[in-house]
Amino acid sequence: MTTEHDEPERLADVAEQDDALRAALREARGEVPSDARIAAIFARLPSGPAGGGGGGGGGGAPPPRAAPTSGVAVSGAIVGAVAVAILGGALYVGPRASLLTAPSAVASAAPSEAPAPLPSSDAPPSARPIDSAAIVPASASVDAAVSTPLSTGAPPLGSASAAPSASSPARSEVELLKEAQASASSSPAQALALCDEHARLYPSGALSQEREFIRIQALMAAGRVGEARSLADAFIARNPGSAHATRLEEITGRGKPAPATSASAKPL
Amino acid sequence: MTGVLAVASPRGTEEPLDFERVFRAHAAFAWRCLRRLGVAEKDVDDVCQEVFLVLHRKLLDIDPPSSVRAYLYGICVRKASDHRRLARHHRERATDELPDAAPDSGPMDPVEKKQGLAALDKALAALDEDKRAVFVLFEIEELSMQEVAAAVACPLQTAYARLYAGRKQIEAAFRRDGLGGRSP
Repeated sequence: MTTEHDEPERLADVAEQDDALRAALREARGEVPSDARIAAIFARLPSGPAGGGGGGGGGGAPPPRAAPTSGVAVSGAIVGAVAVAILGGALYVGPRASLLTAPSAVASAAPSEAPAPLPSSDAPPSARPIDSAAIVPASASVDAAVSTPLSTGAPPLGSASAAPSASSPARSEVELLKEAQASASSSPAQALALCDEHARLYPSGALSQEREFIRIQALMAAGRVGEARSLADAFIARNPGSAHATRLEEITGRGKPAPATSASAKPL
Repeated sequence: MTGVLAVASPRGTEEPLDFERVFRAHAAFAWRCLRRLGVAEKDVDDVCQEVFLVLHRKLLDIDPPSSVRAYLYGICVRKASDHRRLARHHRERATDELPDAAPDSGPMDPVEKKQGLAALDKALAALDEDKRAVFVLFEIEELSMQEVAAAVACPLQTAYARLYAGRKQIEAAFRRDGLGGRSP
């Protein structure tokens, strides 16, 4: 039986040849995202207790997650970029609860989720410690709570504009809603179709609140004010603590005017 | 307020998993795995976000907590597989930007690096999932073979068999493309 002691030498470490494969393997090992990219991904993730966050709205909403201030080197510039993205109308995820209180998260709701031959995301692989040293001590302290956009602006939200179709392959929640957000003002019919598609593909998706927010924006842009207000009322009733609530009052013309800097939330 | 998203283990016996810590420790690993699993550079941040959304939801299910990397790799495989099914992502790899950093990468010029990585990804894409997982985890992520076998939930000897078979295919692909690879 082969043991750990006679493991083969890794190809990238074989000194006898320095060919393209070995160079590519070394390159792959060194390929890492920048701290800023890692920080941007982190800023888009939920905070609060891990483990599913329960179902349905309301109680037990976790506290808003603050931006980490060390570790992944989240700088003030990153936090600033987050704020700019919010003001710029980027797809907006308000309180962390909007992600955590969804009945289920992205992957499990996706119809395209297929059984994997490898350890599935729903069933842990065999319980053997393989990485006990890899969990680093937490060193970040977090202070100021920041709201979190689903996108920090890169890539631009308007970069994708494909219309949904029944035959198109399933897209991720994020992709669908990015496209819907991008077209909410300019092509509300397309945005509504994308929201419908999202609802069909991810009926209990993690971003269902964001979908409804975009739908209401699109309805307003289409001049369907009554429907928009009706949906907004229902949304606020269901999610009274949502950071979207105030914004919805604004965009449905019943609150303070939306900031003029917003590109996608069309003020009415 | 500590700011740490402390998670009490329901079992009360393991070191609690802290999502923020786990993210910091493993984000680059997941990001890199997704790249090698065929997720395009321009999409990898979004897919990585989705991976950690799943992990956030499932964090308490990981037993023991130290197996998080194996668990994470499983999620990466599924999300990357979903991603590859999107027809519009196919063949967009050619337009990828250069990676952010490549320490110890020597004097290769950027075009050469990009070509090498593209060739590697093409060769990896031709492997079946099982061989690719073993190859990526051992050759690139530098897990031990014991760890690889645990991560893919197969016997050690099976993991070795997959590694050697994967190597053979990868080296053959590089030779076919005139890019080298050890002679058989």
